[in-house]
Amino acid sequence: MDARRMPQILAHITHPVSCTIHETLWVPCSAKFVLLGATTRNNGALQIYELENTEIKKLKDSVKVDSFKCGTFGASSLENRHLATGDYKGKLCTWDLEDLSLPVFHTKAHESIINAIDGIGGLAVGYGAPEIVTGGRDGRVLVWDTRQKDIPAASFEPASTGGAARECWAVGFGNSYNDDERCVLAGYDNGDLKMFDLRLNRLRWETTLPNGVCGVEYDRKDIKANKCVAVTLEGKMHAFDLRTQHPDKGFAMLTEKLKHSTTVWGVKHLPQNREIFVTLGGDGSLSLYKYSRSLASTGTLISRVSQFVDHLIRVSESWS
Amino acid sequence: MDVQRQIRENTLELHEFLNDLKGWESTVKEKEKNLKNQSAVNGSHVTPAPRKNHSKTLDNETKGSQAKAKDKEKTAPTTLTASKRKEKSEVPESKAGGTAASHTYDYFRDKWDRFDVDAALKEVESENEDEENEKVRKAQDKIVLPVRGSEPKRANTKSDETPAKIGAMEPGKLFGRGLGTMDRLPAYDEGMPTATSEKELGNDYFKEGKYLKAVDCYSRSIALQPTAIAYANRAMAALKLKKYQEAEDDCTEAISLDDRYTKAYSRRGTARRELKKLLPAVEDFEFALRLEPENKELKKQYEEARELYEKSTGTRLPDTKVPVRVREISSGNSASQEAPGAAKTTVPAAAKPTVPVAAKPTAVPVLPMSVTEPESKTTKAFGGGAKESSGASIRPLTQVDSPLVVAHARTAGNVPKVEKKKSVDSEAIQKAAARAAAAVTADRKVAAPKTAYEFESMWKGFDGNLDLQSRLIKVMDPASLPGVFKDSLTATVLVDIIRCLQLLFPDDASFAVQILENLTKVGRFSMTVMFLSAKDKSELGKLWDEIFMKASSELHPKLASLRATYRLT
Repeated sequence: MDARRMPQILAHITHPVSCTIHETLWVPCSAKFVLLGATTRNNGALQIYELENTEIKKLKDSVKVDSFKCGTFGASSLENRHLATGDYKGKLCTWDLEDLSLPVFHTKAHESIINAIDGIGGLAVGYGAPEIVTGGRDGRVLVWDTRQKDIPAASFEPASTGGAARECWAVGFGNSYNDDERCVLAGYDNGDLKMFDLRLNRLRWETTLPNGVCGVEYDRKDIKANKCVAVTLEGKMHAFDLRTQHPDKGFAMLTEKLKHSTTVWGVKHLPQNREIFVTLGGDGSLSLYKYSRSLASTGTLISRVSQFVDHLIRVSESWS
Repeated sequence: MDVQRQIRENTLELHEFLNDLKGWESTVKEKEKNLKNQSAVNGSHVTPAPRKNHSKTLDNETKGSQAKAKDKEKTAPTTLTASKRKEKSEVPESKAGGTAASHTYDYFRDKWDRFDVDAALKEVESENEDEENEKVRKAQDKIVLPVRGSEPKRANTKSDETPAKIGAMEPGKLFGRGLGTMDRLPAYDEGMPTATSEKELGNDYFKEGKYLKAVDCYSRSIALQPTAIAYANRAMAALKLKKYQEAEDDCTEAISLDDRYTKAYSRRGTARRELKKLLPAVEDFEFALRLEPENKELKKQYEEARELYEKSTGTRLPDTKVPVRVREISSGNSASQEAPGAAKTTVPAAAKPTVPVAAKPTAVPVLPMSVTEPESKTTKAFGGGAKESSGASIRPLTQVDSPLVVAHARTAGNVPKVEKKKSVDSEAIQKAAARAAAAVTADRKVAAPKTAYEFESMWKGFDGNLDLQSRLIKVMDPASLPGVFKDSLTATVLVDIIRCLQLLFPDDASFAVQILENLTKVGRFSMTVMFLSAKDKSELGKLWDEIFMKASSELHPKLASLRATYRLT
């Protein structure tokens, strides 16, 4: 607590790395985490670190052909904990962290870079088949099942009419409260936010936000859709109440403009408490929010800390 | 006070946090270990099947719904209400006896069984205004349509999801941007592959080491549009595949499209070397080196090829090549054929070319000067050199026509008639001439240099061959000498010029005197003359006395005065 009796975010360990980091992920049920990114020679960097007392130790450092953009453990089983990654060339690969020589599964998902990825159905959480959703620069949102190569389990593609397709920048799974139901939220670079229903295999809801959407997340993936947060360029954050859908007006939305008004790169909810979430700011700041039911604001800012480092793109919550 | 308390509290909290973290760390590590051990033991629960979206996995679905429900493989995604668990699937069975209530699965099951998917599809699709999408979708439907269990193209009416599917069709209408439509983007956003895109694809494959695929891509690119680069690239890939003959052919094609493409020459050289066509290989490398003289790689390749060639044939290639194409204007002079015996210095010069001219007056390869004296061991003036087969590794360089050549030829023609003093080189020259006539057909043409640099390079190329040097001098217009040299006439060149002028006496005496005169007009001549060494001066003095003075008497006064200018006394 600081003088204002508010929780503080403190940096615990700082460690320099020699590659550009695009994604950080805790390995589920362990004290390890994975860094995905690009080396200086534009190859893919995959590094595994382990927390040890007050420092971190590098366990593995692997270099692959193409730079990685994003990754998730969401679709892997707890025993295997395979890491699903999307890279700059549009390849979706699943890696076994014990043996990084060859991917367990790989497919050419998109023609160009995979911007966002999410996984669901693994880790002994939730219902339904384990699936991975990827959103790419070509504007397509594809849902993959690792048991089925080359053919996505579902795909939502822009119509071929018109000009260039809008890039898909963010994807997130949710509403997976039983084996059949599942929804995918996709955010695009022109501010479109679309919700696809995978059971019905169609668009369920869409809206357009004033700025391009950089991150979306449901507060919990494995419950009936409760709320979600979408963060955009120009420091704006939108929270939607997904419990009731109005046929015309869609979902109730609250908007908050962040103080720093730089791009908000991502949002992550705390697995243990779905009212608390963190936004990653383009000025290097982490903002911790608590959702309150008041109509006035989306959430009260619990604490904010600035980091004098490059902007934070990814943060991953650990759960155990 | 408050602040202190705060600080203390903070440090306490930090401690707590660190302890907490450590505790967590140890528990989690243990958990992980247990997990690893357990993973073998655990019978993993059945995970639901992948969403149905293509025909293959649905072939088994022709069974009835009951059978399907029983079959673990397909249950979950294929029914609205049934789950993969067996219990539920048994429920409908138990009700098989009585009629099902209207809200149950059974009631609808039969209805769905009888539902005509194709008709419904047609209905929906006819509503769809976008014809293209429809076609694409139809083709792609079985792949892209991920509706569970349904297979619109099958006779199989197991379409539980038809209501949903119809819903799926409608998005094309309902939502303008048509995000729900199942279009598949074409493979190439711009349409058909172009020659350039194929070539680039080939380049990518080449970088990855997939040479066969690279060759295919290049072939396609060539088929679309033949370019020198594509041919050369295909040759490179063929080289990697050790298909040397094909590589050579492709390089030849590339060269025919672009004759200045250095890479094509160097690659063809490599291919030829592997095919053991060593001399052509050396030629190719040499030409490539001429195109890019600064390329160290090429130099290396050239040297290696030369070594190989020399080792294999045991002959030595001449080191120097004259960058000059010499062609004798065939102004007859068959009379000069007999002249060789006359041992005139200039005669052989004329004879050499005329002989071959008589034999074969056609244009051809440039010979290094040293070739014409294949076996002469005597004079260094001619340089050493084995005979080189003609038409071999030489490439004609730019030829420069000079009207002076004609004049030269005429004078050369006149020469044989006049008796000349013998020169040191005459015999060797004769022999050389004969041999040259036999072995070599050469047209030679000496172009008048326009700058001192050109002059010097040609001069050096002659390598002390007085005869050729004198011809060069003859070709030059004396009045132009100051302009050519400006002020870059060096002492050594001056000495050489005067030495070869001796060949011009006495028949071209006046011409020689003109040359001498004009030389004095060259810029900074007095300086140059000062640089003449004592030895040079004595030599020149001797030359002057012996040769120049033997010229016709009217030139004597001029010569005397010139001698003074040259400071030879």
